[in-house]
Amino acid sequence: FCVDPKHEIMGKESETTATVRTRKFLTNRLLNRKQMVVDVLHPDRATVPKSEIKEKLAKMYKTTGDVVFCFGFRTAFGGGKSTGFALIYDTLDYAKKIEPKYRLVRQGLLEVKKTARKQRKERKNRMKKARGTAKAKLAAATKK
Amino acid sequence: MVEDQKQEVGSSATIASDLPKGVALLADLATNLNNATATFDVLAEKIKNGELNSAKGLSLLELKNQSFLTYMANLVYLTLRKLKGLKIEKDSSIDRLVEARVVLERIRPLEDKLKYQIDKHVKTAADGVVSADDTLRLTGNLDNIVSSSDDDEEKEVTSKVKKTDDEEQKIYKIPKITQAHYDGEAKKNEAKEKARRRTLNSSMLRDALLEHTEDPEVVYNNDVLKQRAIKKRRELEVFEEENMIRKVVSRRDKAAMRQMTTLGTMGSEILGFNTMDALQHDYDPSAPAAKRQKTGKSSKSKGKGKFKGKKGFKKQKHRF
Repeated sequence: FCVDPKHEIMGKESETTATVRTRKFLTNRLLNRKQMVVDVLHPDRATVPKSEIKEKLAKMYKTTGDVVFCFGFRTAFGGGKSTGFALIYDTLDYAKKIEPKYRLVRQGLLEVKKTARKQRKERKNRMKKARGTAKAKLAAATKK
Repeated sequence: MVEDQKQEVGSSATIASDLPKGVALLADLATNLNNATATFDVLAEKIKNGELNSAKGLSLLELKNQSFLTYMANLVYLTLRKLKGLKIEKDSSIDRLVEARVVLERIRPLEDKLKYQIDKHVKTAADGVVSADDTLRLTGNLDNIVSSSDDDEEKEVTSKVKKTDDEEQKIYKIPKITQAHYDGEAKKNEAKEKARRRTLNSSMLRDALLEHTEDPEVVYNNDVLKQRAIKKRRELEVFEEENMIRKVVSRRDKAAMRQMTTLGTMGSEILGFNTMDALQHDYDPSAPAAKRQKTGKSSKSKGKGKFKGKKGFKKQKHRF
């Protein structure tokens, strides 16, 4: 009759650490970045979140976490291993110029303001009723 | 007055600079003339003796020669007139010059087109013998090519002797244009070989033979049907890692990748009922497979099977 210490902890267990290895490392001078394939070994654990991998990679390559972009992580069947890609930019400026918008949004470097979907659709339907210059007027009026 | 003096001075200066040049040119002129007259004398002798007969030559080149001559003659005439200080305005020789010039310029592209032929002929004439690697000599001998129509005629002649006209009209003869490929024999042998190979390599036979060999047993992990899926997955992996992109695999392809290991796809390979017929010498793959004779055992088992259904159940109940 022994109490297993692991089972006592009710929350998510991040006790077991994950190993991050990189493969196919390539320095892309044209885009001012380093690109690589990342292998994460995480037995007894669910897929490691991107933020954690980002921090680990930043430590490995001695940069800050904000120039590291990782994406495309797929866990192998059975668990324990996942593979993805990572890009490490020289500076944040280059990163902002080159990375696609959705990845910048994920990182939190860009904010995309979008009106609600319903609002957009309603506006479009209102514009359908007008024609010509009246349409342009309506567009300007409801642009807010 | 001053200007005139200046002009005089200028002209005398130019005269002084040009004088040695002029003297040199005169000397040159003398030597060139001597050379020209020498060659001309030789040429004139040849023409007088009739060695250079161009009757069988190319008329284009003859035209070129003649127009060159008229051009030179007229040019010399005009130069003489100029040297004597006469005017050459509206002289008829100028028209002749222009005409000759135009003709020469028109001949030039034609000559370019014929250049290869002319060079070859010149070479042949110079050597006196046709060169060994002359490409014109490499054409085929048309007489050696026997036309199929000749054969046809011969055969038709013989067949007409044998058959009557009516019969011939009824029978359709395939027009013999080219050789027809007959692959009847090859296919039969191939099918036989294929069937033989299939039975020899079947897993059933292999397992049976394993008992009798002394070689160590090698276990391969190559399920033939799985290989394709494995290969595809590997290709995809390589592509994705090279281009740092995740490809969207359609649901069907994903299912296909996973499906390969089920019994449904490999069932026939594992549980196939292979007969040993293919190994017999008189095996004919095209003939229908002989039905197996019903042995005593099978009939009994069939009997049991008969009474499985609802009716069978009832029957059984009846018995009891």
